[in-house]
Amino acid sequence: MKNISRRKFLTEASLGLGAIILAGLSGCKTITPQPVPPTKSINPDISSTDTEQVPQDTSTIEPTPTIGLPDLAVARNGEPELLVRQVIEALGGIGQFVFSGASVIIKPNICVAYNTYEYATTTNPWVIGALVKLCFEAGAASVKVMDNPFGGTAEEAYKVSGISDAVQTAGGTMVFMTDRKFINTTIPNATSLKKTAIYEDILNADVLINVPIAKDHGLAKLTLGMKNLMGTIQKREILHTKLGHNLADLAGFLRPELTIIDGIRVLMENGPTGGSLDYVKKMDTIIASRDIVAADSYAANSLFGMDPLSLAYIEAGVSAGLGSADLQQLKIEEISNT
Amino acid sequence: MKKIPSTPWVVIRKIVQGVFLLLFIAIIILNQKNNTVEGLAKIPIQLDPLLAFSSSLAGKLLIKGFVFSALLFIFALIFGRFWCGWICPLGTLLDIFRFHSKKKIYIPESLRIGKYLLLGVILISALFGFQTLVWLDPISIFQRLLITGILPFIDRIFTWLENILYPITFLSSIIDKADQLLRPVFLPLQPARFTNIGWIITVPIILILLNVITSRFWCRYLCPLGGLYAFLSRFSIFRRQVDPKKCTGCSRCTQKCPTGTINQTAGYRSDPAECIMCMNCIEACSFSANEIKPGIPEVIHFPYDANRRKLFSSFGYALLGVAFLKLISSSNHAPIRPPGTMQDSFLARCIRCGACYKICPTNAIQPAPVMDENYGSPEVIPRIGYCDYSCNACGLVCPTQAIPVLSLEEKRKTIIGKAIINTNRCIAWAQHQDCIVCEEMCPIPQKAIYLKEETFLSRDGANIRVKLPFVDRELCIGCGICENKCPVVGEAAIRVDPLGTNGIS
Repeated sequence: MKNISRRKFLTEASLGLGAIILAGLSGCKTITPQPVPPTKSINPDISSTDTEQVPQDTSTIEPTPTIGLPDLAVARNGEPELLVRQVIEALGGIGQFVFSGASVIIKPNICVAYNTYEYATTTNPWVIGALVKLCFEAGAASVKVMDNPFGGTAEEAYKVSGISDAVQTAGGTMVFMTDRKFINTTIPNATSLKKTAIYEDILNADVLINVPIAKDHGLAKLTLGMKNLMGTIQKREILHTKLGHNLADLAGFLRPELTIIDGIRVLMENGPTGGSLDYVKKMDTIIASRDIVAADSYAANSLFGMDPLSLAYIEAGVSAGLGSADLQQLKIEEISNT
Repeated sequence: MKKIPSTPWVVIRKIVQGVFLLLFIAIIILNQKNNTVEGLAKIPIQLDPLLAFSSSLAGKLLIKGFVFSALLFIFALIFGRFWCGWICPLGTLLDIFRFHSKKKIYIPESLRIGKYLLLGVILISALFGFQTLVWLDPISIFQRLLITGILPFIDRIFTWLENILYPITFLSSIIDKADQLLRPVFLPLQPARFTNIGWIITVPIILILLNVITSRFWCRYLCPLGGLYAFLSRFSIFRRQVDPKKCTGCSRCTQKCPTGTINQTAGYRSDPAECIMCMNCIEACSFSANEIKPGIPEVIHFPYDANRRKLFSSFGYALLGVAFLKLISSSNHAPIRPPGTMQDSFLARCIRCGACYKICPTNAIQPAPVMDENYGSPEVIPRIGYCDYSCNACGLVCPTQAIPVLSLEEKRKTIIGKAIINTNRCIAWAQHQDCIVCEEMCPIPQKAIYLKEETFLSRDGANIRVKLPFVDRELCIGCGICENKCPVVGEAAIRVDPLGTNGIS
C-alpha cells in the first residue's frame, strides 16, 4: 500500500475542508430559511397571489355546519377522558376539527419539570391522552405533542408530567423543540408583537389543539388558553411587557382550531409553578371551544370567579375581534355527570 | 526471515486499548441525567489508585467505590504497569498520536524521577488536605478534555451542519429524525458550553506535543499515576526477561520500546518500573529472546529510582507548592457551589474530574477560572445555567463525595446562595414597566420572589401602577433561575450571591 505523506494529507484535508466550508456558505446564501407557510392562515412573507397555497387552504377550512352547535361546551365530574369525549361530542364531534390525514399538534402546558400532575402545574396527562386517541379516531395522520419548558429540561418535564407516557400509550409522538426550527415570522396587523420566532411544526400543522391547564399567574392573573400559546415562540421573556396585546396578536395569528381548558385540578395560587397541594383545587371540569377568548372567559368566570374583562389578554382579544367574552350571549352546553 | 509469533500479542494489546478507550468515552458520553446507570459515571475515576489515595488522605474519608482501584493496585503487583500499556485512555491517546521522528533527542535518564516527584508532591499535599494538584491525574485530564472540549466541539459542529443542511427540503425530515434519535440520549438537548477551559484543553495538547520529543514522554517522565504504578511494578511478578543465550544483540527490541527502557549497554535488560507491558519487544524479536514471565523480583537500582532523599525533597516541594498556592489564593473570587457542598472540606475532596459539569442538565456547573486554588472546581454560573429544581444529579455522580448525595427533597431545601435585585437595572423598578419574569420562574412553592404593586407618577403626572419584585431571603435557595431568565440584556437585574457573602452562612 502506498503511504501518504503528512504534508500531502494536510494539503488534501485542508482543500476538502475548504470545499465543505464554501459549500456550506453558498448554501447559506441561496437557501435562506424561508418561513414555511402555515396552511391555515395567511402568511405575511408569501404574497397572497401565491396560487400554490390555495388548494391546501381549502382542505383545512373547518367543516361549515356549525349552526346549531354550541359555542362552548363544559363537562363536569367524571374521569378526564370521559369529560374530554363529552365536550368534543357536544361541539359536534372530533370530525369537526380533525379531518382524515391531518397532521395535528397538541400544545399542552408543560412549563416545568418540578411536579407531577397532582400539583396542577402541568396539563393533566389523561386529558392529553384522550385527545390523542380522539385525533387518531378521526383518522389523523400524525399527532405530535410538544411544549417548551422553562424550568428543567424538556426530557425531564415530559416524563415528570406523565404526558410522555400518556401520549405514547395513545400512539402519539412527543417532540423536543429545537432552536433551529423556530422561524422568524411577521405577524400581520399586529398591534404589539409584530415579529417573533414561532415553531415550524406548529406553523405547518393542519390542526392546532391548545390544551392549557387553568392556573394562577403573577402578571396575567391567570394562565389559560391565550397564555398557553406563549410556549410556541422562542423568546417568551420579552413578551411580559404589554402582555395582553402580545398574547392577542399571537392568538390571532396562530388561531388554534380548538381550545380545551383542563380544570381537572386547578392551581389557585403561586402559579404558574406551584409546588404545594395546598394550592390545588380539584374541580373536575373540562371546557372546550373553537373560540379561544370564550374558553378563557368562561374558565376565568367559572373556575376562579373573576370578571373575564379584568384579564388584560381577554380584553385585548375581544378588542382585536378574536372572540367573545360575553358569557350571556354565548351558546353554552353544560354537561354534568352527577 | 521474520518469525511469526505464536500469539499476536501486539494486535491483542491494541484491540484491548481500543476497546477500553471506547468504553471510557462511552461511559463519559452516557453520563447524562436519566441516561446513565447509577454509579457508572464514577467508574473511570474510581479505577484510579492515585485518586483513591489522594482523596482519602485529603478528604479524611474512605469511599466505597474506590474498591475498584484496590483491584488495579493488586493487578499492578502481579502484572506491573499493564494499566499504562493496555488500559489508560490517555496512554492510548498518546499511542495514537505517535510521531516517527528520525532525529533522536537526548533526554537524561534521570528525568524519569519526575513522575515520582509529582506523585510525592500530590500525595504529600493531599496529606495537608490540599488536593489542588490532582488535576495532573491522567484519567481526570482525559475526562475533562472530553467533557468540556471534545464532546461540546463535536456537538457544535454537528448542530452547525444540521442547521446549514436543514433548509434543504429533502434533508429536513432526515435531520429531524436523526436529531430526535441522538438527543437527548447521546447528546444533550442543547449543545453544552463551558467557560474557562483554556488550560483544560492546553494540557493534553502539550502532552501530545511532548510526544514529538519522544514517544510516551508523559508516561516516562511526568505521569504521577504512572509513578505510582512504576513504584509497584518493581515488585511485580510478571516481568520482561531476556534470554542471553538466544539474544543476538540486534537491538530491534530497543527500537520498538515505547518507553525506551531496554538498555543496549546492559544486556538488553529493562526496568520493570518503566516497562508498560506493551509486548512490542516480544513481537520484534526474531529469536524469542524476549519473554514476559513470572520472575523473582530482583532489585536493580536505577539512578532515577525513588528513594528516601527524594521523598524528602518532594515533601519540601509539596510544602512550597501548598504555601505558594495558598498565597496566591487571596483573590476575592467566591464561587457559587453545587448544592450541599461544605465550604471547608470542598477543596479537599474535589478532584476536578468534571463529572458534575457533564451531568448538569442546564450547564450551570462550570469550571472555576484559573485565578486561585478554586481553578477547575465546579462553580454554578446562573447566567449560563440555573440549578434545576427537579435535579439532584451532581451529587450522584461525584466520585469523591465533594458534592454530597442529596435526595431531591433535601436538595430543594439546600441553599447555595441568595438572590439580590439590582433595582437600578430591573425593568419594573427602574423603568416602571411590568415584567415579573423572576417571580414567574421562581420554583419555590411559596415563591421566594413576590410582587407588590406600587404607584409611580409618569412624566406628565399620570399614575402608573407597576408590580415590583422583592426577594424573600428566608425562602430563597439561590437556584439562580431568576438570574438566568432575567430579560435584561447583559448583566441580569437579579443576581445570586454565593454563600459566605453578605452575611449568609
